[in-house]
Amino acid sequence: MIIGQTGSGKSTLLRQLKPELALGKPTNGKLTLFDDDENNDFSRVAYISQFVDNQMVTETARDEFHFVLENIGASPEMIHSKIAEIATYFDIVDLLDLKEEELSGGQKQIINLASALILNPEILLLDEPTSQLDPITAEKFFRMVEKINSDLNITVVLVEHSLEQAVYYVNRIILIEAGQIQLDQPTDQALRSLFQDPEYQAYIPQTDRLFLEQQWDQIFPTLKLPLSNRRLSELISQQNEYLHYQDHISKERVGSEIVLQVKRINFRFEFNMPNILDDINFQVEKGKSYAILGPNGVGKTTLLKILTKQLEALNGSVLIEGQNVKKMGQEFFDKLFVLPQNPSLLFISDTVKDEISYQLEQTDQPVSQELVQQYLQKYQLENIQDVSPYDISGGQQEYLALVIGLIKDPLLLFLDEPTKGLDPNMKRKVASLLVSYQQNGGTIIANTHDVLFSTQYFDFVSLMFDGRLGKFEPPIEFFPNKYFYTTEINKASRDYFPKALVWEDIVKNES
Amino acid sequence: MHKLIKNFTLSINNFTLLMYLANVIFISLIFNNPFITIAILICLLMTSWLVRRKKFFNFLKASGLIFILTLLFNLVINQNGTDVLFKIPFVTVSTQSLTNGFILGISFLNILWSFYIYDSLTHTKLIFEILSNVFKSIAIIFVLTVKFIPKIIDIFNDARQLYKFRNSSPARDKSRINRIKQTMHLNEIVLNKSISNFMNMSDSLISKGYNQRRQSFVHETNKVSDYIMRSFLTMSIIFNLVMLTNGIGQVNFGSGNVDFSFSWLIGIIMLLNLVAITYPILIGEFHYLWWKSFISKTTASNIPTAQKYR
Repeated sequence: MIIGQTGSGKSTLLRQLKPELALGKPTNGKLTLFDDDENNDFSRVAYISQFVDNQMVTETARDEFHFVLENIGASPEMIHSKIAEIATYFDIVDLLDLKEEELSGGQKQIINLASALILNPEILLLDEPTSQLDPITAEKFFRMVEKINSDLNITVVLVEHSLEQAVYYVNRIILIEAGQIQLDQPTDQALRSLFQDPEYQAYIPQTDRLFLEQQWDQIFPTLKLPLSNRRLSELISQQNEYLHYQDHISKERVGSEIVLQVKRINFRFEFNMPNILDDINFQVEKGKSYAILGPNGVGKTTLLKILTKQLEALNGSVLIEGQNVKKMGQEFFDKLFVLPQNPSLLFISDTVKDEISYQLEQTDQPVSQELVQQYLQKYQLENIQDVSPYDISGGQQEYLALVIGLIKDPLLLFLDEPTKGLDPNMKRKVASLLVSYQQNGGTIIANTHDVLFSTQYFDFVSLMFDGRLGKFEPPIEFFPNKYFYTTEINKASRDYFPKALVWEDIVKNES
Repeated sequence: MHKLIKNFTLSINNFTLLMYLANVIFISLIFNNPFITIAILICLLMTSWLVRRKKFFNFLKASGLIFILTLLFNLVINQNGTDVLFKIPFVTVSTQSLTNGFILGISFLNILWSFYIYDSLTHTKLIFEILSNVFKSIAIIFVLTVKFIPKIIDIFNDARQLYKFRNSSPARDKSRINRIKQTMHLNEIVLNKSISNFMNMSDSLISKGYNQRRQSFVHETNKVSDYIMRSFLTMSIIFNLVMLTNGIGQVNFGSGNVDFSFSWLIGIIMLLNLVAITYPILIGEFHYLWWKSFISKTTASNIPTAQKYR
């Protein structure tokens, strides 16, 4: 697994491993497959990108397999037997004839994986393959990759921005920093090395972080990282008497005025379909942050689009500061900002600097070059100021879009998957920006899959499923009640510390 | 898609299906005799309804509007005819010009509805393959266009909505010229965004080996039903070509003296083309009756796993 900060060159390196996809040409160095200069056949290398929706060339999975096999001149008999094999192996027989728009993100990515493997590659390159999937689907995808790796002896090179899920399936970790390989070690050793560097401590999964922070590596020197929840649970039970719980999540609760009211919202796309949003009611206090959790396809984005007038509800009403949004004109758009799932949809200029400059102009203050530079410095965007916003990495796009929103300083900030593609340090940076926005009276409503992020930084959390939105509760009350949809630390330590949600919550007793 | 049409598409291969669609478009293009065009329109509407109900009414509204526009346009440009019905400034409406406009409008509708059926039943990959054997670069443009036109529309709609949240200057200029400028700017933005999508697709084509494509023919397995249908389609095309070259089923437009008469040949053209257009329904119905009468009585394993593989 290759990790590194957003924009450190992980994806660029990965693409160099398949020369047809490489960006630019290497200035020096040599790429050799299997130590054999004579047999550098890069058709033995398969590649899957993070863009789930842009990878299928044809309409259905069956056509896609045909397309790939026909490109190598396979005979009809070979095509038939290959499709039979691959469809059975991946258990996608019932997906073969579904059109692309009928497939979920996870199903599409499994089909992309299957069509990459139908040519029997020996190396599989995966560029953040789960960045657009919810955690449960992402885990299924990784399990499938692990099965391929162990069943078929295929080498997998995976680029990820976070270790949290993928770390359980990899043998080595490579750390890239500013285009240089800083670390290349087996997983256990790499996790311990990362822990030594304060810059990368946030990358370590919560369970391993607790293990290392408590210095249990000295008590259990033979234990290998990463730790499963079960293993950590055993350690906690052994060390229980030396530990206690300390709350790091609860926030002071001060009531404030209601800024947004949602009353009995219903929505469906087609007449004879069940409601995607079914009687949604909630209200939002000024200066608070609200996270809506839930798997892909439950209606989180649809709800956000209705709240921001991008879609119209069947019935019900939305009130901002007591005023029905249907009666609001431009004033509505002035008071809100939306960070969509695809942040590049927001960009309108040719460079990052121009994006900042444009947004500053909307505040009607005189915009000088100095002012733009000040903002670029404030948000640490100077290095990419002259780059097109479409050419920066997914994580950087997410960050830039958020900065644009914060410059606007709206009354309500709607975020759709704000941590998608962000490395752990970048997440902290985003969190600190959101906290200071909140302190200035801003209100946040976010859709997210990121259980840990919502635990650490949001005032209220709710779960959406089957078109219904649960009650918003503070994370400290919401997560301990959940069995599956909670943090890894909570799952591992619930027998002894049912309220512990992050590694900081479990501390050593003072002697 | 109605079960009869679904059954038909399962009984033939994609190449035969493409031939059927090409024939439907051909039929819609060549005849303009009112008896034939109206009969064709009825068949096209019936087939379209069964092929794809989802967009039927929207398309019906749009095609109705296009019919009215075609009719009005023809009334303006073709003012021949002796049997004057009424006059308005600059336009003289006669029975002949009205008939002309009506027939042209119906012909235009036939073309639109034949493309509606084509759009619902066509198989992108087959056309892509046929094109890629002849013009590789055009095939890429074709697949990008087919895939990205709906995406570009989505990008345009999303970008237009989100643009409102960015453009929040209280002193903004609301003049018409400024609004036109903004729309042009928005179009430019959408193009920029679309290009990055195109780039991702080119990666997919490369990683799936299109740049080293070796396949030089289309693989389709032919069954008896394919041979029967192709024979019928070939006969239909030949017959229609003969009629076309002899000017049967054609009306002389613009002369102010439209002569349309019904003959036994017109009747045969109507009958044959009705069968050609509704062939999927007829075959689907035939198969359904056959199934109901004989096959469904056979006991077969119906567990979900067996269904999945069937």
